[in-house]
Amino acid sequence: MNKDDLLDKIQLTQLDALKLNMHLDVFPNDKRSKDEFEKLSYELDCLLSEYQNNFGPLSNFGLSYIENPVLWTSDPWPWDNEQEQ
Amino acid sequence: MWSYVKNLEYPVNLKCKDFKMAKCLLEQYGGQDSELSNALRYLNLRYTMPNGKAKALLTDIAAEELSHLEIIGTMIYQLLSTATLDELKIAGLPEYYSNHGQSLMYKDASGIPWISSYIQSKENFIADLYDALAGEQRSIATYENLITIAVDPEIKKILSFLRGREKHHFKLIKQLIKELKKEKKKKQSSQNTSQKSSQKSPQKGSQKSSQSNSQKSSQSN
Repeated sequence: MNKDDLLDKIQLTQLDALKLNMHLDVFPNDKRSKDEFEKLSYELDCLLSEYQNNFGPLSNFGLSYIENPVLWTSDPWPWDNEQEQ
Repeated sequence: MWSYVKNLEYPVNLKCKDFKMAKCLLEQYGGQDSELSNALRYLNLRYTMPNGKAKALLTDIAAEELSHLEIIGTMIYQLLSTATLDELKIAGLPEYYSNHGQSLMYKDASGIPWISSYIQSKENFIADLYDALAGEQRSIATYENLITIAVDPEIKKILSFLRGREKHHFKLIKQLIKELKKEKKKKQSSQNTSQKSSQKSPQKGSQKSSQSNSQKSSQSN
């Protein structure tokens, strides 16, 4: 997958995981959601690892799979419009 | 502790030139019922919540509201940064520009700066969570107004997504209140029955017997 597609996939998976996480805050014993959440977390983990190993860190404070201070600062920030690059 | 993830919760890449919308979007950036108010309200109410479930949900919603604030900020930034000075004047933003240029500031669409009295805390979790519910509802109403004003379909799409998320928060908080109220009622009724049973013994007999009762109970303890 190229960089943009991979980031799109990460965003969609994050969103599904976020929704399930909040649902499970209120319904912690919902077995189906729990299984789905675990599956999604694993998928997200794989996607994040693939992205960061190829294109640089996505998280700060040592939480990335790979640390690259140059890419962390030089890679565009989320609010930078794509047309500017 | 907080950490950052370097992508938006929902992608924003505005190509339109709807500069009036930048001004209107400030309502969700630094207005009374903005994402800023929502995020700070949840962050602040977490501490005195009665159980772990409530603390977890408020922490997670607060974090998502901060992500929404970033989405709104990105929309305003992308709109403002491509506008020429003339376009900003036509859009009714010369006063804003005089103070802040093309940078962002926590003010509402009319230029009123954000203040902490937009939110509240009472320690009473029922009062606090109903306030959060009302905040979500007002935020949804603000999104509906913004969607009506917006011309660009991309902006409408992003705002509809955000409105949907606020509706979801509303449902979860409502469910939480229901459960907490039930728990509180259960606790109160069990307290009442234990109070009643402890009151019964001295009423029944003379002082002597109540004394002997208390002696008995202390011995058994």
